[in-house]
Amino acid sequence: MNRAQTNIRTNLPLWIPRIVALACLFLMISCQDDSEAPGTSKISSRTGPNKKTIETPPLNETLSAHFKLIEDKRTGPARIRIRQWLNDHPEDARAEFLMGLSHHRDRRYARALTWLQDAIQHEPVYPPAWHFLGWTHYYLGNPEPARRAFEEHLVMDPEEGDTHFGLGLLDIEAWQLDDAERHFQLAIELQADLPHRVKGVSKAKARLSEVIEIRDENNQEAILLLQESVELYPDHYEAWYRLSQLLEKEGRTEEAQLAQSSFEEARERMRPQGETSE
Amino acid sequence: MKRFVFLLATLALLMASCDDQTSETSTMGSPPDIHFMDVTDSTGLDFVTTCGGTPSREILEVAGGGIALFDFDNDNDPDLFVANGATLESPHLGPGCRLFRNDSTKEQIRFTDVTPESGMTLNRWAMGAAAGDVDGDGFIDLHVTCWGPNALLRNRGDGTFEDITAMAGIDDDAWSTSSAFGDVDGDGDLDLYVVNYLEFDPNELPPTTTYKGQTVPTGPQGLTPQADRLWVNEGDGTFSDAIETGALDSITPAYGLNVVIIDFDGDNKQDITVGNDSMANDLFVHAESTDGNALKLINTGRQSGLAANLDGSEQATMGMAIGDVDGDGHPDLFTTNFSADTNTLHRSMGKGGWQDRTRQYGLGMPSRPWLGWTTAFVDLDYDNDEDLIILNGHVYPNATLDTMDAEYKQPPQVLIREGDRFIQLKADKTDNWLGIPRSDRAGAMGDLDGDGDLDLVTAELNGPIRIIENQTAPPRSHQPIMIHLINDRPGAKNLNGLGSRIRSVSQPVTTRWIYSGGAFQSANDSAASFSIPRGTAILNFDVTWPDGTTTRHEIQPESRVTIRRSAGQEVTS
Repeated sequence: MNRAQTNIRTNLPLWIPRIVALACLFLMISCQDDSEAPGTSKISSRTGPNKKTIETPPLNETLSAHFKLIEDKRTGPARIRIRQWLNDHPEDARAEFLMGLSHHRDRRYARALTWLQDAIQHEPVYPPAWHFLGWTHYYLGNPEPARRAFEEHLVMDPEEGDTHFGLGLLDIEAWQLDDAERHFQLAIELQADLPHRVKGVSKAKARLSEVIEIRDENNQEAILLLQESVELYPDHYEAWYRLSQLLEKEGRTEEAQLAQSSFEEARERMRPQGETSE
Repeated sequence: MKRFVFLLATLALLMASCDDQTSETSTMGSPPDIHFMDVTDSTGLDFVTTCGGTPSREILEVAGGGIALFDFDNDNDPDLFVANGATLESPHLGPGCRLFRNDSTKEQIRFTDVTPESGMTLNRWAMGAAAGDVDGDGFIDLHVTCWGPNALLRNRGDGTFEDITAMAGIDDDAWSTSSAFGDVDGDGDLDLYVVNYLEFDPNELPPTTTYKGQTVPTGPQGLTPQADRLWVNEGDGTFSDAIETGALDSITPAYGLNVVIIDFDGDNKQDITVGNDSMANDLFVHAESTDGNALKLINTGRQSGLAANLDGSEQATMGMAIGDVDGDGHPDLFTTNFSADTNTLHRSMGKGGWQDRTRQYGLGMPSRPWLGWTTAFVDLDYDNDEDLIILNGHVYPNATLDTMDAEYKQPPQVLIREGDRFIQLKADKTDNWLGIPRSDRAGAMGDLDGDGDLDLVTAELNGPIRIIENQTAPPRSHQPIMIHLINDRPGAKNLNGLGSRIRSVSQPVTTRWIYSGGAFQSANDSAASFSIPRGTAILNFDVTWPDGTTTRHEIQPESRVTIRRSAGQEVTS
């Protein structure tokens, strides 16, 4: 905690970071991307009463502009500008974080990894870097480093639902279904009152349904969770697919076919075009 | 004094626990040190495959050629056929396919090139091979898939082959990748399923595309998929197209790469599952015929759960392996896929339904960096459950960790089953195969040296054929046996019992399948490998033949066992 406080930059007038933080939050809300990508494009600006949460220091004006480019999917121009910034400000952890984030957005996780590790080395208590480091390791297929990064992030920001979601996925990979359930439940609870986290809640409900189906063999509850998931976020095609499979298994053929159609429609809307299979 | 008593008690406890461990290991013996060695240099086999140029520029060049392990000369060891390709500059005239005779002893694996005397003159762009006795004459024939016309090569039984494609009526100019034999219509002879990929014309090369921001060859997306063909053996040397006979209403064109034929849903009829590249996989099962047609197949891929992974993602299925991971006697399906995706284990839930249980077995996330091809279930450590072998290698020459989160050359993997999880075996300093990155594609398994365990032959893209000897020493407690089937029922033409299920009745009950297809574009030797306790005098095996009949056989444990159908007692379930 002390180390965090010493790393947080406080030399700006108070109103500037708040404005920038609000802008970031707005961008985060408006730029939720597809279902299994790191769901929260969050740079946390949590200012709630929880004393355990380490506030994410806001970006300065220049880096905020670069961040906006990333959120606008203009990752190439963003990287050019961040690199220019880094020429003048070598070892600026926030810029390194943004560089990592830009590669993460492009699904080039090995590149993202290097930058995020640099960012953490230069500013160990910068919560979003740990969060995205966790997801980066996840997509690179490194379960243990992913877990360590997510857990580190939760030390700084215990109420980040998307990190709990990531840990839930890792628990499923490790087939620790009770732990997965706990993390998915937390992901749902922590995001339930956040209007911009509807997709996050939807994803967590869909994954929770897996635990309920497999561990508890409770198909009815699993179906309900999936129905809630797609109601919250109709583009969640994975949930539609699983719903169709479960309904089929339960002999509810007509409903299964409807869910299958919804799956195909949602996938058509959401599937990235123009690249070969991934 | 109290301390002394405590120390004594602690020592006694430690000794007791050590004793327990000793007694446990003495039951099983020490776990074997799994070891595969590349022994190619000493086998007399020196052959480099051709599939386009290096680096690959077009999709036609990326998959390499397949291999088949099959006993063409009936001398009880698997010989080797190599489906060799050509180049974009000369796509219709390549260096030619090869046939190597197995001249191994238990001490030394040896192969001799017998292509010239075999009469094989296949110089087209061959992709894969399937082996089966299509005419029931007791000699195994070959089907060779090609970009361009496929070939059905009849084994004359004298060491030579003749091309009977036209006579059989199975001409197909499509780009075929894999094929498999199976008695789909239950009439005793072998039918043929041919998997087709996409339309590709070397004279009109498609423009490049991008993947993760890198320029790569186009495909399969963006190119036109082709429909597969099911050829029904009429028993008179000819085959009929299943769509024309009404056995199938249609086959949706797809980017097909692989196929397996066994009884998937337990109705005692042979079904077909097809692995498609970035499209839904198919499962053709038997339906009641409404129009009097004896054979009626419907595609239940989607309903069965086999079409896609857990999330509905239609993966780039390349390798397929059948095993029984949960010991319930039903066939589970493991598939290898593209990098940045995961391999997938579909566990049979019985009654023709499958669930993606990849993560339960630890097979998901760790597979993300790898682009997998041939895979096989094999019990490598003699504990009766099957382990996994996977050959890897990326398709894009510009793949690096930096550009695509995956390297172009990738090492093969051996995954050992421990409890409910598969754990990757680490290479050690003496390994000259495991852990070494290559551009592996095809592979096939068979007992090359007759010692009862499964060895491996691999084909690297534009690289050598490698002979990988399984040098794992069996534990004191167990020994390997390799079971071959002879279907000598009067009138039967499926000589090797392709599509049969073999179950060890003695404890622990273990199930294996002898099937055609699965190994990417390749054919494993038609045999099943079991691990049995040493000192067992008689073993009981149940064989469920492709027609659904089960026979029980008492056999003596030897490294190679041949089960003849006529020697068994029919079992009624």
